[in-house]
Amino acid sequence: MSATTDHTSPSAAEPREPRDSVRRRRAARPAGAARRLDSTGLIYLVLVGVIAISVVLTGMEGRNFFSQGNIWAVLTAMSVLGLIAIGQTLVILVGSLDLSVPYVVSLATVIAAGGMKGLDANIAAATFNALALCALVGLVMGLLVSLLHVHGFIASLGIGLVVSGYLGTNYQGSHGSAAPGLRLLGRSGIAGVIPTAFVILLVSALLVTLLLRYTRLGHHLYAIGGNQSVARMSGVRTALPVITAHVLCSVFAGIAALLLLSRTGVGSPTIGSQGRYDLLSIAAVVLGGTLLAGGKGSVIGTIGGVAIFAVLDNVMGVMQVNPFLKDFVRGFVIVLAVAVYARRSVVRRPPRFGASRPVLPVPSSKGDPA
Amino acid sequence: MSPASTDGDPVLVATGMTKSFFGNTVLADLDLSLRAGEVHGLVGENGAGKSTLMKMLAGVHAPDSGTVTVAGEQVSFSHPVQAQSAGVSTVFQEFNLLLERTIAENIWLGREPRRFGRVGPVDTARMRRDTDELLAGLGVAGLRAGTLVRHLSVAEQQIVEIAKAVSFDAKVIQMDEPTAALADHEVELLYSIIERLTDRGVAILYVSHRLKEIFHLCRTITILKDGRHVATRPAEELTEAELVRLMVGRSLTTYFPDKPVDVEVGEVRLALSGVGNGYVDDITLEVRAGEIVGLAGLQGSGRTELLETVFGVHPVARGSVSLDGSPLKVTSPRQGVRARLAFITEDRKAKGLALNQSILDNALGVVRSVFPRRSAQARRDMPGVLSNLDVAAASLGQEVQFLSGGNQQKVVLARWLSIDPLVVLMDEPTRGIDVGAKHRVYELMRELTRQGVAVLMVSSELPEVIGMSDRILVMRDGTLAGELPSGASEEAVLAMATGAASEDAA
Repeated sequence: MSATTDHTSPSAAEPREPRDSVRRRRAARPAGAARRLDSTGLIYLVLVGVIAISVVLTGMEGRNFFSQGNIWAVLTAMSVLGLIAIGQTLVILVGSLDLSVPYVVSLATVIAAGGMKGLDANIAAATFNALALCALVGLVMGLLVSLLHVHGFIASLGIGLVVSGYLGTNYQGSHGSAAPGLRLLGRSGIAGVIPTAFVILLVSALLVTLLLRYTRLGHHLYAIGGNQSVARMSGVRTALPVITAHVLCSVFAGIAALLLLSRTGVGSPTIGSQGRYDLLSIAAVVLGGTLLAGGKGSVIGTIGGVAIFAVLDNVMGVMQVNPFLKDFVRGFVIVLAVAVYARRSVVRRPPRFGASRPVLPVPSSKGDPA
Repeated sequence: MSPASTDGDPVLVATGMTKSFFGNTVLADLDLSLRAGEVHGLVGENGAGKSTLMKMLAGVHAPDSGTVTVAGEQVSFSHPVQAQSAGVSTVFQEFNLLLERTIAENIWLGREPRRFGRVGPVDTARMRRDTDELLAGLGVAGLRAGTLVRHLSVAEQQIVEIAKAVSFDAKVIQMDEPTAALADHEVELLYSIIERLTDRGVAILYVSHRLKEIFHLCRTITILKDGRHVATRPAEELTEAELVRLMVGRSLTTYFPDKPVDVEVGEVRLALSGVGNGYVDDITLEVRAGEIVGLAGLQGSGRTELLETVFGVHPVARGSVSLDGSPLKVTSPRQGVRARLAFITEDRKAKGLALNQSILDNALGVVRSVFPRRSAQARRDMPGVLSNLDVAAASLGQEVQFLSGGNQQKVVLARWLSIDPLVVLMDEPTRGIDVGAKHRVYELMRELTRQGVAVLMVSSELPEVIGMSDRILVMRDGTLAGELPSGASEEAVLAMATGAASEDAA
């Protein structure tokens, strides 16, 4: 198939006016980027607004939102949910869903902590084992979704319950112990402001963004999520991207689990479900402008969504808001965001009479001396 | 046409193409030859086999028998991408585009160019550059490779599909009713693109119902009828009237129940005066009690939209509607039902029935939701209504998805009869149902007229329109093109619907 990319039909390429290069350079700047900026720009605009409100509210409590400690706290809070939400973005983009992330997180913490037994010598092996197990869980879900056509919602719910059942029968209370090296990572950072965990989040976000923009896999993720039959008609093999998205999602949940472990020091079979990472990650993805139905969205948007949640949580923590009101605010934000995005209209036949779009110019047919 | 292309070699030769679905032969032993640089028109009535032929050449359907050679080499396609790689691309009426992706991403989907051979990253700069070159090669200005397809008009999306076809180095491009959804100035743009393509030696297989267009564009015309090849002639040897004659004139195979003598056409039930909105314009018509009015026209001429407008799916922007002499303002289907309008939709599986619910629940659906107080009575009457319609089913609890098309349609009819309609709007009432069920639908229409119901029926089957209607209204491009009496000839209806030589038809 790569041979067909060498396509340019000769008569199309030959006649080239001098202005062509100028026009082409202008066209090379993707017009879509401006529009994409609109939608992610909106999210970051909301984020700035939320931060502004938070600064005022934190100030009213006699504290400084931009203090070293507070920024550290916000960025740390973003890291775990952020990594999970990156994985969730991939799965949602391809048209699936992953409800198993909290259980995968718990599983990874007990496996990693159990393997490390508090010794630095075990870090590599324990990390590998934990992430490999996560990848396996993701692989099973990917196969269920792509080959058996089980919807991701049900596949991940079922697998999540299986993992949860395994954890419940084999682990009571905390398990194992994180190696000192990992704990150190949980405390380390740049200039006491940016935690290492947040750097890991940013690097992951960058890598996944590159994956989505510059690999066929990434392009095909969007295509399958956008319209599976169009993707198939265009010769896209649909199974591999779906499987890859699920595997990556579970692995990112595993990495998030290691970051959690670096802070808590012990593995816990319930830490994931306590964090409610399933619904919060989906909410962050949707808040970040990704279509829940798939085919449209970005990791940058998701990070914005995660940041909005982290800042809200932070300021509500500073103000000692009661937990029920916290949930109320979170829920309100989610519903509001989705209501805004849902205004996107349904595709229908364009009206025949009274259309008001600008029209394309008809070229003079003499122009091309083919 | 440029002189270089007048004697093009055959680029695509299809011989003996045959296809049947479920034992029903839709295309029999068809031969077709396309020359480089020609626009080859493919015409025929709805169901003549044009789409089937295109889909076989596009690799969507595999032919039962027959061979295809492209540029002298025998080919067989089992996937659209294979056909495209071999040089046969198709622009379907339903576009295969991803709305949330850019023009470039759509064109190169599945074969994105990569840097450094097979392992490198996708070369997005090259994708954009090549896309801009493709668009420039088609003479299109104002489209950017990076624009999301969602932001394009239908005409622009069609251009993207054509550019995609060209990007495969297509030798043959099939176009299925490409102008059906275009405005006039957009049609001009399409023509100029087609001219550029033929100048490069691309052969175009052009399917259209619009005869003017066919004569304007095509050098050769192939006519199909009932799945058979009728004729292939140079366009200059044909006149519009001759073409219409070749397209129709088949024997009537369906029997229509006679008009009952005891029915008298009564007062005006439904009247539209100058009705218009985004889909139809300047529609003035009357349907009287006990009358069946047929609404003929090509696909996309606005017939369905007219029924939907009357029923309240689309708002009426201009003009007025009245029912039994008093003004009728419906702004939602629910209000349409409350006014006792019934609407039998074209697509019963998507819009008519809840497929995984029982016959009884489906049949009672409308009454229960709109006239809940009458639902107990309707529940008692329904078994009688259904058996009167000869619904063949194991029990009334059976899910409708397991019924035949004909029985499904009877369930749809039963649900509308339960509201005692004053006006019945029917859209393709006999599409996809067997002869027996068809006959029962026709009888039911006669029964309805006996009860003083007004029937407005859209149908693409000309014999049906002619055999059942008291009057025939013909639509073209969203407006009424004219009226013909009951028993008008198929030629006359088709001529009016296509805008061909309307003066001889009238």
